[in-house]
Amino acid sequence: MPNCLTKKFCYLCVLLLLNSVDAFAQEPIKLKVAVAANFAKPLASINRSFIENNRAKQLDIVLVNGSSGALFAQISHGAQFDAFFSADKARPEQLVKRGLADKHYIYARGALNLAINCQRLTCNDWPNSAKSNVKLQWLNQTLFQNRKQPVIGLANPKLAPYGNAANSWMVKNWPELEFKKVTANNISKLYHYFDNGNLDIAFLSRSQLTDSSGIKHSYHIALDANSYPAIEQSVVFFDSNDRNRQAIIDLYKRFILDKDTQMAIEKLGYLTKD
Amino acid sequence: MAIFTQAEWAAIFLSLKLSLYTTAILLVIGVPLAWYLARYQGRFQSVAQAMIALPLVLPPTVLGFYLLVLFSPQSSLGQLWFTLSGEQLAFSFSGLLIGSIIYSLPFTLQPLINGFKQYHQSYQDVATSLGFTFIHQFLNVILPMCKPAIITAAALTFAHTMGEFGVVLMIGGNIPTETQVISIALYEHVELLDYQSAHKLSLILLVFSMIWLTVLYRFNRQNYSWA
Repeated sequence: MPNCLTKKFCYLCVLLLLNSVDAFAQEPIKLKVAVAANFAKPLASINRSFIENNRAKQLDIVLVNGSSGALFAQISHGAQFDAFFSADKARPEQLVKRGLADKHYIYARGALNLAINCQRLTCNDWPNSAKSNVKLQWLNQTLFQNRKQPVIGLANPKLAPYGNAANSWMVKNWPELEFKKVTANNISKLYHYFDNGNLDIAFLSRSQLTDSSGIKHSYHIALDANSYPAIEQSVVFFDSNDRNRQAIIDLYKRFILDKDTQMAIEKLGYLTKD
Repeated sequence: MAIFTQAEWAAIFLSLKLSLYTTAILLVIGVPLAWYLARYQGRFQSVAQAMIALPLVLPPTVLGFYLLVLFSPQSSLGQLWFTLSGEQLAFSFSGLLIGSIIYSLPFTLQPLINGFKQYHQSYQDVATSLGFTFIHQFLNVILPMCKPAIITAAALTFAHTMGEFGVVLMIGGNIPTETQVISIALYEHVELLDYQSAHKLSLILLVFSMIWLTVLYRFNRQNYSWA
C-alpha cells in the first residue's frame, strides 16, 4: 500500500512539473500581418510602439510585405493573416464583400512624390523655392530641353495604387513628353531601381522619402494631392477562433485606429484623412 | 476571339528571341571553354567547377540584384556600355541577355564538359597520327562525336531561358516588347487575378517544356550509344 501511495505521489509530481514547464514554454501570440510595400516600414515602427505599450502580453508581429495585388490574391486563396494593410480601398472592400472580413477602415491617405536623380539629370539650377509648382516648372524645362529620353519609373499601375496615381498624373501633366516607362511590381522595388541609379525620375510615396537615410544625390517634389486620384489606404482585420488571439487582434485594431497612432502615421509621410 | 492578346504575342516572341540569342552566344562561348575545362587539371579546378555551378544554386534574385547594381550608370560597366551604345543596360533587352547568359551558363557547360570528357585521348592520337591539325580534328572529329552533348546543351539552355523569371523580374522593368517575357506577363496576370490568361500562358510553357524535353531525351537515347 505505501508503495502505491509513493507511485501516486510520483505521478502527481511529474504532472505538476509538466504543467510548470508548459507554463514557461507558453509561446507568445504571433500576429501575421500582410502589408502593402509602401506602408511596411512605417508599420514596423508603429508595431514596435504597440508591443511596447502592451509589454505585459506575450506577443510578436510578423510582417509580410508585398504589392496589394499579390497579397489580396494570397488572402483570397486562403492565406491566413490577422490583418491586411492595403495600399488601396478597393481590395479590402472586395474582401468584405466576399465575407472574409467584417469591415474595412481607412488608416492613411497616400502622398505621391517625384524623386529626381541628380547624377543623371543636371540639377545645378535647382530652384531654391519651397513651392512645388516652381520645382515642377524647373523639371518640365529640364525634361523638354534634354536631348535624350528620360527613364521614368512608377509602380505597375495595374497592380499598385501609387502606380495608378502616378500614371494618371503623367497622362494629365506630360501628355507630350517622350520617355521610357519602367514599371516595378511594387513601390519598394521602384525605390531600389531609383536608389541604384537606374532611373532619371521615380514616382515614390512620400513615406519612403521621409527617412533620413534616404536616397543620395536626389531632389524631391511633393505633388499636389488634388492632381492625382486619392490613394485611400484601407485595412481589414480577420477574426480568429482562438479567444486570446481575438483579444489581441481587437487591441491591435483599437491601437491602429487610435487618434495618436493616426497622427503618428501622418508624420511618417501620409496626408490627413479628411 | 483571338487566343492571345497583342501584348501576350509580344511576350512569347520576346521569350523566343531571348532564348535563341542566349543559346547561340552561349554555344560560341561554351564550346571552347568547356573543352578547356574538361581537360584542366590545375589546382583551381574545384574553384572553376564551383563558379560554373554557382548560378544553379544561387537564388536568381542575388544575381539580379548584383546585375542591377552593376548596370547602373554610376558603375564602370554601366558607364562603358552607355558610352558605347548610347542606352542603359538595366531595363533593356541587352541587359536581359547578359543576365540570361550568366544564369544559363551551367546548363550549357555541364553537358558539354561531360561530352568532351568522354572523348578519349586515343581518338585524338589516331587523328594526330593521320596528320590532322587540331582545328581539323576539332571540327571534323571532336564536334561530330560530341554532337549529342552539344544538342543537349543547346536544348537545355533554350528551355531554361524560356522559363526564366527571377533575374528578369529584378532587371527587366516589365516593359512590353522589350523586357516583358512570358513568365513576367504570366506573373502579372496572376497578380491581377486574371486566371484565364494566366492559364493560357502557363499551358504554353508547360506543353512546350514537356515536348522539348521528351524530344531531347528520345534523341539522347538514340545517340549516346557511341560512348
